[in-house]
Amino acid sequence: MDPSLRRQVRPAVSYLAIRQLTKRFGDFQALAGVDLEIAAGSLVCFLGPSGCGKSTLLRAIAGLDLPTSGSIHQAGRDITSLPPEQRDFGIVFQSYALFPNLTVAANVGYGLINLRQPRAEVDRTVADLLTLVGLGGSGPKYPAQLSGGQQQRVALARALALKPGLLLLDEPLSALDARVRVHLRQEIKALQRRLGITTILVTHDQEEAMTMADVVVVMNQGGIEQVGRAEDLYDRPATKFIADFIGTMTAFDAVRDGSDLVAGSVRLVGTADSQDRVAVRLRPERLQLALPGVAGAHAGRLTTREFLGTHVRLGIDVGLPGATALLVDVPADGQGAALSVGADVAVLIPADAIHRFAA
Amino acid sequence: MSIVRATISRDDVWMRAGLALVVAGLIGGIALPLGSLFWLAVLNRDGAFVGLENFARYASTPALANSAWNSVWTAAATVVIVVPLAFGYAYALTRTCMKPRWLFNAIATIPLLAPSLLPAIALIYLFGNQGLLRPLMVEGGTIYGPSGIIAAHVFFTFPQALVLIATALASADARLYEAARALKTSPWRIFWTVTVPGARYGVISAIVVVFTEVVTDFGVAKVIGGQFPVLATDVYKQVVGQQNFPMGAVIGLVLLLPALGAFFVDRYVQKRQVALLTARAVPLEPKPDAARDWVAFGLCAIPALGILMIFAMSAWASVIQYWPYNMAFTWRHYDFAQTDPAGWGAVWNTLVLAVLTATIGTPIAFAAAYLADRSRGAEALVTITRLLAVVPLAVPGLVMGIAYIFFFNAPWNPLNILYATMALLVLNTIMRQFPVTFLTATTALKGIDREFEQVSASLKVPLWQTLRRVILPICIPTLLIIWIYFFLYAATTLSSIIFLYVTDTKTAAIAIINMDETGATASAAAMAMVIVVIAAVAKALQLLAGYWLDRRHAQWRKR
Repeated sequence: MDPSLRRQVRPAVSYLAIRQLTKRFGDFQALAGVDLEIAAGSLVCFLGPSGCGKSTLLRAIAGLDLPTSGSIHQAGRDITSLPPEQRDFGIVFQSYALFPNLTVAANVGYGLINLRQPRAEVDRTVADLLTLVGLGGSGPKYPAQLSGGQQQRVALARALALKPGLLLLDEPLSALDARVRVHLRQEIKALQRRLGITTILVTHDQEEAMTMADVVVVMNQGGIEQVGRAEDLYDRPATKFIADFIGTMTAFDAVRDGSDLVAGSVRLVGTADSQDRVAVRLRPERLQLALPGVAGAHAGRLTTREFLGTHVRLGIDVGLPGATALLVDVPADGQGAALSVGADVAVLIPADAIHRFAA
Repeated sequence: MSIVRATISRDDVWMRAGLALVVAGLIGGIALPLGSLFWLAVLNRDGAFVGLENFARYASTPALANSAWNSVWTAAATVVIVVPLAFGYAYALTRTCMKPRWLFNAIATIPLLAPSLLPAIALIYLFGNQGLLRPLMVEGGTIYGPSGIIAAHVFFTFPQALVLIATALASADARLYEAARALKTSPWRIFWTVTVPGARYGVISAIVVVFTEVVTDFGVAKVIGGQFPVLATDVYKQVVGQQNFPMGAVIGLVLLLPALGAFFVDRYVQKRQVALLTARAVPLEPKPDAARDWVAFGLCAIPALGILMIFAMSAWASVIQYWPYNMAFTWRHYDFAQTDPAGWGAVWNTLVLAVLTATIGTPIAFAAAYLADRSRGAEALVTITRLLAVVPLAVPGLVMGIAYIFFFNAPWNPLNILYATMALLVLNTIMRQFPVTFLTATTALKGIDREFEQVSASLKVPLWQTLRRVILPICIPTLLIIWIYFFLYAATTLSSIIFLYVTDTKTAAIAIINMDETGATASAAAMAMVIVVIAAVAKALQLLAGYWLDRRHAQWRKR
């Protein structure tokens, strides 16, 4: 690889600073006062359901749609109102947006032509970039002759050609087959590491976000719900939205009775805090099966059983309101996996497995 | 809280300057002339303001109201004949395995190459007083009048109705038919519950287009209408015959009503149409069915023979010594100087007008569409462009013609230097066809990722370079279509420029009218054939260029 393509990994200083960013479309508030700092050299994912504002935020950073108010600073420069051509970024779209009438090499070299570099130098840079994304010999081909995954790599090479300070990826993998997607995930991640380029990836796929990002920014209804590493989001969801959005949870509401929480015929002894009504969330893998009659275990009946490869997910009716099944994951090779629907079982709910949110 | 305002880049400046130019052109070429027409209608012949007096006089003249009724009912009759014919033809082309489809397709587009005068002239040779098929006419019947007007228009509007209906039928979703068959629905019921609703909007569009075309066309009524008065010929008589411009303007405004109504019906239909098509639709592939395919062949053969006969008649009449007394072959009718002072100069003028219109109009229409679709901000300019660009759809050519004479002949107007020049004809023709070409270009551009420009901006490539290197190459087929559209219209049009030409700028279509007026019908037929040949050559060139490009770009152009 051409060493000049490698950017120096900077210490974790803020590269992009977003303050009080809002965007209105008529009555609709697409961004509601977003504050966010992005460290230099990090890979940040904007994750959220459609309509949460993640794409709007990306487009504001790129200058494709201007925000209504607030500010964006990139490397200390106020770029809030600048048109895209006066900013410093490379972008990859879900649609690839490769120029169909230009060869792969011409696509990658599209922005280089303007730098008035000698032809030979442009050719060398293009060749390096294509090698970088693993498409060494594809220069003379047209985009239509490549597979979707290959086209996306060309788009990536093109976005990196001018050595931008910031790489923006807008749902880059959503149009690809599942297998190609998993493979490209790792490649993009490795490439980003190697180049040390600050990168923002927008996705609605939480697996993509969790596996690729240094930092995940979960958005909902135009605001940021939580910023953190994948583990933080999974183990310590800050809001009920995060708890419901990330991974699988058993969800039910409970009321306080003394120091206990009560939901239907289930009593969680000594788990109440000061709130009278709480929303309870439980990760299936944090619960344990127990023999009926074990102290503190909640007795119930097995109602559903799902085989998931490494483990089996059991649904157990322990008397939660509305017959909500308590989900419990057990290893596929363990004893619990052998239970059949209708069996009498009991479940232990450790106190530290209980996530409580305002109901 | 401070509101963010866009920093204007160099590209933005260029785009806004371009849009401002487009808007200025549309105001000068469409808005101001039409506005002046309303003003003209409230003046008397000496130019004094008389309020609504002209309208009152119009309403109290029974002859004029009679013309309005004549226009409406001949148009309605044409619709009733041509739309079912076109539906049958379109159904045969899109839903059966009838052969040879390509041939029927080609024959159906022939009328697009002809001025509307050609079928009128051919019908006179077929059914006129000395007509070849005169004995077939009912006793006492005559082709001069409503029957001739209707027959000529059936021929002339057939391809337009066909294209609209065939497009609607072609975009059928095979899954609906499979579902209907799976539910054991009879073919007859499938036809009425799936096929007809699917093609409904195409049919409505066809009705609207045909109706407007007949009401606003001038040439056919002039040549074959005889003593049968219609709105279009009334305008001509008032303006050219009696030099009564204000009354011409009033009738023109009346003529605006059906066209305007049709325009809004069509807009409504177009809006509804979008919701019908889904990206997941599976195209319907017709399966062979001998009986049905032969019926389809019959459905196509009759109109196709009619079209061929009209053309053959016109061609034949142009090379006959003296119909019907001396049937010897001659080229003498092509010596146009014998029957029209302009001679072959009119043909030359038509060529100049068509080439200039197409070659100037294409970049303008495309640039306007591009700027309106892709500029950032400048919403006001974009909105005005979009609005003004489609206005001529609702304005008949004759009305636009009167508006142009009044506006560009006014002593106070600095643009009056254009009066009596070819430039004015070119401007008028471009503006007449601006809506269709603008919309064609817009549709093509909407099919091109906006992200191309966004990626280019992130790569610091100026917009004009992306336009030159990417957008234009992708759009070449569309540009060719727009070019030929302008060309064919300019080569065959009559209604608008009938008021604008002078001796030096007389075109072939106008020469036909003049020849017909002086009784030189054979020369008129010859001139019509010359227009057909010019149009056919241009069309062939466009097809060849398209074919060549397809071959050249085969590597990246997916079909």
